[in-house]
Amino acid sequence: VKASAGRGERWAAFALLACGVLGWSFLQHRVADSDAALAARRTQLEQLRVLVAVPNGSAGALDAVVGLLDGRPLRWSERDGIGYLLPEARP
Amino acid sequence: VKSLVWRVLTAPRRWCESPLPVAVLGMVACLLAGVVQVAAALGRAETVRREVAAELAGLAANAAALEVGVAQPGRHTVAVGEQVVDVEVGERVVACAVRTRDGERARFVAPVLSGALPAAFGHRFASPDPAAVAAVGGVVVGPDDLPTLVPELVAAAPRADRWAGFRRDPGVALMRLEGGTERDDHVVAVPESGTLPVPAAGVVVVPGHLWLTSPTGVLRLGLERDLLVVVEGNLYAAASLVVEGPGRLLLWVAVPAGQTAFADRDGNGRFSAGDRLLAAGPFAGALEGAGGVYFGLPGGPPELAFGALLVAVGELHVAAPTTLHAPAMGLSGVTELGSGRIRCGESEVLDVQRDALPGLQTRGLPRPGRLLPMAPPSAVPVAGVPEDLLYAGTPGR
Repeated sequence: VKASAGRGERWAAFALLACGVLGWSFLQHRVADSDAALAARRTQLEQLRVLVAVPNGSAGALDAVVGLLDGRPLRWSERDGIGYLLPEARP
Repeated sequence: VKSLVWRVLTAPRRWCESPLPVAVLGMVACLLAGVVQVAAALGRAETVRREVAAELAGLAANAAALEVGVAQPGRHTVAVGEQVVDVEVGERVVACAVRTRDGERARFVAPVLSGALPAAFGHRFASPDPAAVAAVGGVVVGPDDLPTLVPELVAAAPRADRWAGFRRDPGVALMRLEGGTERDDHVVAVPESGTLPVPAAGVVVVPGHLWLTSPTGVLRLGLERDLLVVVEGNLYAAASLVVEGPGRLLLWVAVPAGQTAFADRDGNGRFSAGDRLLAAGPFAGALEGAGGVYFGLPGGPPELAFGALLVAVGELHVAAPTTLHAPAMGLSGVTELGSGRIRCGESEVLDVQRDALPGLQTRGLPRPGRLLPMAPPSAVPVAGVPEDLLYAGTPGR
């Protein structure tokens, strides 16, 4: 770096770089949080698929997915002896 | 030229003489990296959002299809939670279209089933004999849970000796059983395409014994649709069996009139002293009997994997370690010969309420089968949907 660069110029450069790094770090943390939430949502989606594939009517198994799919409650229902999951309207 | 090259080579040095441009470049790089990361995260979130939307649409369509049923053909509109589902009930197919919040439309189709499958298909292995269940694993089932054939379909089904995909083989038994067999022996003749042809009703009858053999030790066959093969004799598995879908293979090993099923305790392939009859009355018919299944034969692989659904009316004889990769039923017992053991693999059981197999009596009321998505929700916009999508000629699988 040229020795003649002024003190103010150097501080401005440092501030710019610091802003860039801090901003990038902030975004990275937000992305990591979002990915963690996404992973949980995907896990529950997989659990829901298992429930749909093999309906067993277990309320405990249903608790694992309730509230995370767009906030819609799900409940077991039955018609002519066939069990199925019924998505209801948002409370 | 020399001067120009020198100016190009020294350009980075000149740019670095002032810290501000370097700092700006660094900040832009950080910004770009952040934008790329956020864009990737948004993409991942959108993927999951679409998958969730598709799953919820499937649940809504399923609930609507079951609520409407198949008794009243025509178009019905049902509200399920926050979703509105259009249900079109046809003679053979139920089609559902779900309108989602973001203006997309998910479409599903299901075949109309005449009823449910017997409960025994809902287990990896089922038998009315507790000793057989103790040997294989699975559950003990009662007579009401066991399947029965539709006699009219079986009577009208093509015979294997006149249907491509099977052929008579007079020598196959002589190579593996001392003295061979008395009745006709058949083998699977996989066409060059690797896919067995399936008759319209999905049923083929083997008038004799069926042998599963392969020079490689693994018999692979493809099926576009489900196929029921009724074996009016014994089934001899001298090779592993792999069925490549989407169709499934159900082997029903029956005891035809005039033949006798027995437990071949000495494993010699014919009724002899010490063998146990499985029905009252004297032994009748061919010496090798009928209705029995033999896993493991001379010349076959040391271990077997069996990938077809199986209903054995007679005894299961196991002479080699065998793993069942599809639901099976042994209506009689299990005879283990030598080191032969049989166990259930990680097979998927059938959803007996919503699944169908050809040639079997069903129970309960007619119903829609399992819904299958016709297209991802995002792939079919609301406007401009060709209406014939709703009326698939045949149910997809």
